[in-house]
Formats: sequence, structure tokens, C-alpha cells
Amino acid sequence: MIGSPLYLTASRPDILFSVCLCARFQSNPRESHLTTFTRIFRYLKGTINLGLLYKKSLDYKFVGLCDDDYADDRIERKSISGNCQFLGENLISWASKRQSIIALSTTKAKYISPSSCCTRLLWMKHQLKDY
Amino acid sequence: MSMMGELKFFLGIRINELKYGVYVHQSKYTKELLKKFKLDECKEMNTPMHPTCTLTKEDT
Repeated sequence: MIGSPLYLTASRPDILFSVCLCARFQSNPRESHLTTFTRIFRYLKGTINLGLLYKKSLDYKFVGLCDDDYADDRIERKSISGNCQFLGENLISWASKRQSIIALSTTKAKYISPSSCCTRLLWMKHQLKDY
Repeated sequence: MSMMGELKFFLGIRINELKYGVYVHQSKYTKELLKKFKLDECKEMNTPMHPTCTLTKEDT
């Protein structure tokens, strides 16, 4: 039930976080998780036609945005970071990820998320150099 | 591409070419999903998740 909306995140960054959170419990699903799962579908029902719009422009400025939530994962006390990258005004990449190490302070969590964001930006910059 | 014409539908992703850009969406796939899980008659929600929602490993 969660595997299928996971494919939907290819054009819907808005459900990325909730789908990823549910996906963590997919190996051992419980009946109490079902309400959370179906809520995603109920949200999708109201927003069927949402998608991504790529506008024509000659603006090739890279912008990366990132955020994190300190110790958001209640079970392992790990922080969750999210980031997205824009090329001009078009969204080209996005991610929501539980950080792989346990941050001891909010500052540390705040350092981890921009670093992953910058990694992606640098990679994209490198790729675009060929064009 | 020229042999098959303009790209419109690929792997469940619909690509609409507009005057000012390209619109990419998966509305057909979403509709199929809702039908598959028999949720196409359900009430709509404004958010995908409740702010205080916590999932646990065991049933609560």
C-alpha cells in the first residue's frame, strides 16, 4: 500500500515526507498504522491534478533549500532533514531523509542537512558543466 | 523521438507541453491507485498527515 505512492513522489514532493515515514514501517505493518496510510490517499484524492511545472527561462541560477527537524524520529532519536534544489525557478530535485547519525544538538543537526544539500548542488553543478 | 511524435505519456507520468513550459503530473496513476485501494469514494483531506502523528513499532 505504501510502495505505490512511493512512485508518486516522482512528481509530488509534497507527500514525500509522509510516504517515507510510512515506508519505514512497511516491513512490519500494524493495524494502527492504517489510518496514517489511508490519510495520504485521502489527501491525494483532493489533490489529484497537482504536478510539476517547468517554465521556459534562461535563468540558470542554482538555489538549494534545506531544513531539519531535531530528533524527530521518536524511535531512534535521529533527526530528519529535507532539501530541495531549484534551477532558475524550476524544482529539479528534492529529498527527505532521516539523518544517518544521531545529532546531539540542534546545531549539529543543522550542520548535517546543509551539507547533504550542498553535496547535491555540487554534483549538479558538475554535471551541468558539460552543457 | 521524431519517429514516435511528441512525448505525452511515459511510465504513468503525463507530460503536457504548454505555451510557457512543460507540466508534469501523474493524475492518471493517482486515480488508478485510489481505485485499486477502493478509496475513490472517501472524504478528502487538506494535509497528508496529522502534525502530532507518531507511528510506533508495536500496536498501541
